[in-house]
Amino acid sequence: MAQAAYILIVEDDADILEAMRIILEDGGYEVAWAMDSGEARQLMKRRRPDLMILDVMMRSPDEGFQFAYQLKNDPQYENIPILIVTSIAQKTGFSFSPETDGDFLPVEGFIEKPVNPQQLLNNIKQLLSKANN
Amino acid sequence: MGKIQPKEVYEEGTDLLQNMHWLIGLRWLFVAAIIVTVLFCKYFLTLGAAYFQIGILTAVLLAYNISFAVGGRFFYRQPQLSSKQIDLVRGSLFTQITLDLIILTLMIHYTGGGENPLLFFYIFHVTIAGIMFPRRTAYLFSLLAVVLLGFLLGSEYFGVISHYHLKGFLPVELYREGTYILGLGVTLTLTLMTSVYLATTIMTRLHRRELELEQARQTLLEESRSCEISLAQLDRLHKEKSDFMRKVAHELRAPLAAIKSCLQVAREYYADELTGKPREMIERAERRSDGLMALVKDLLNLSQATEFSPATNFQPLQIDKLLSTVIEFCRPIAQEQGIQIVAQLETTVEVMADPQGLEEVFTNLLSNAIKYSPEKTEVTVSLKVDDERACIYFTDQGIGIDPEDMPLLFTEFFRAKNAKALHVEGTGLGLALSKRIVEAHGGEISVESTLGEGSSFKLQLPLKPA
Repeated sequence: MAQAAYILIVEDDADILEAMRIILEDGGYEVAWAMDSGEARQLMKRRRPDLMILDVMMRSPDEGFQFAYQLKNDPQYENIPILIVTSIAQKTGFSFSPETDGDFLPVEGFIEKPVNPQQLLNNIKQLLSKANN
Repeated sequence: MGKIQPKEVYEEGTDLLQNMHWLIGLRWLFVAAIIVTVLFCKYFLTLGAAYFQIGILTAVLLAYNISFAVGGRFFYRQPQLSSKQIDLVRGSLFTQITLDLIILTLMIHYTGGGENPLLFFYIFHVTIAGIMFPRRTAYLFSLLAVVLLGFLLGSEYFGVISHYHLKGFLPVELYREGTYILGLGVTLTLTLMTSVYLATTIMTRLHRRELELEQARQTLLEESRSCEISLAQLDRLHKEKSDFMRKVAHELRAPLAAIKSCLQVAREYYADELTGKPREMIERAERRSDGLMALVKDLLNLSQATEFSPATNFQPLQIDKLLSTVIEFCRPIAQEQGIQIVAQLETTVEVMADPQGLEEVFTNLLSNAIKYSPEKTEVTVSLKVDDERACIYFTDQGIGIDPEDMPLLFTEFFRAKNAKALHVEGTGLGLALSKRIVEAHGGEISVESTLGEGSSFKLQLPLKPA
């Protein structure tokens, strides 16, 4: 990789955001962050991210999902891998697993809060290498 | 008391109508008895009597009984009597008994007066009055009977009216024997008064019992109604409680996740700057936040298990496979503590179950067994089929459970004293949650334990129908 991958974090919890920023920057990535989907769009126009990390519950309980749907239906952005970060595990009524749900949100990965640094880095590494192939 | 009044009025109406029906029925019988007796006396005993007058009296008796019977039909048809109709029925009963007394007196007059044992029929009349009317009215009827009787005996004695002797019944005429007539009158008066007294006493007691019964019935009804209300309220409260619990748990999760993430980053990414005491303090805080996370997770699961509706998520599940998975998951923790897990899962057993729910239960029970066992001991997981049920045992050689703690073991937030004393993390929700999940599967959870020697938890689940 000639240049460090550029990752956009969309997360409204400033503390989680800060923790993730430290983990990712330490992992050698270039990181930008937005507190909501509107702000994220502005940043994406300026520079296309190589990967996005989305929080599910922001201003509305499913803003992250909505945003992911929009991106996946936008030819300009559909190829950007998305990693969803959520503090609600199973049994919320949302679809979380590609194996159990056919009508599955086509994002590339899920990770549960609190964020485990190693797990986060592993996930990102995997998604980026898949996207580059 | 106020509440039962309408019922009482209604019952009074029904009672009066029943009495009237009964009285009219009795009178039919009497008319028949009179006709039979008259025929018997005239043609078999060949007694000489005023048969013409007796015939007329019987006809009158028959006539008014017919009219009361016909009139009564109107009242029987009413679903419920108004208080005016009740007064009418009561008045009719009053008239009927008065007429009966007059007819009886006339009948006695034409059949020998004081010489005829028919005199004792007055007892029937006053007893009937005692059954149907309040004590005072009943005494009034007995007084009327006494007056009629006195008038009859006196008039015959003094020759004011003629005496009809029953020829062939008595060899002598007694109506002029003063002492006999007086004795007869006094005896009969006392008998009538006593009859009324007895009849009304029995009726008063009966009525009081009826009232008590009715009151008891009303009280029971009210109590059962209030029980229903309390049950509904309890239900609602329970639902509110679990809703609240879930909301709180969700709200707690986000900040907790942030705390935990920050602490972990601080410890892992600033290891150089974080040494000695500061590092230890961060580690302490992280450990506590882990405990809190576990509690919140259990709370969420518990509130979900409350509304766990069976069958929605049920699918055929191989218990032995799931147990193996859970055992492998727990094995590293067990090894860390020097505990060996022995699996006895020779049989293949299928049940209908929610896989996530049962995995939660198995993990709970197995990690409990490991948590509360000393080093170099064994934890055994075994599976059997017994009486159409899958029986799963989690047996340890751990600290055991105090018999005192047994009754509360499966209640929320309960932790046994010896468990707390061990300083192992625990939320006190695991067993409560397990019990709910198992019961939602139509199963049972039970435990046998000796303090200091170990515990054995037994799960029973219905087998998958063949």
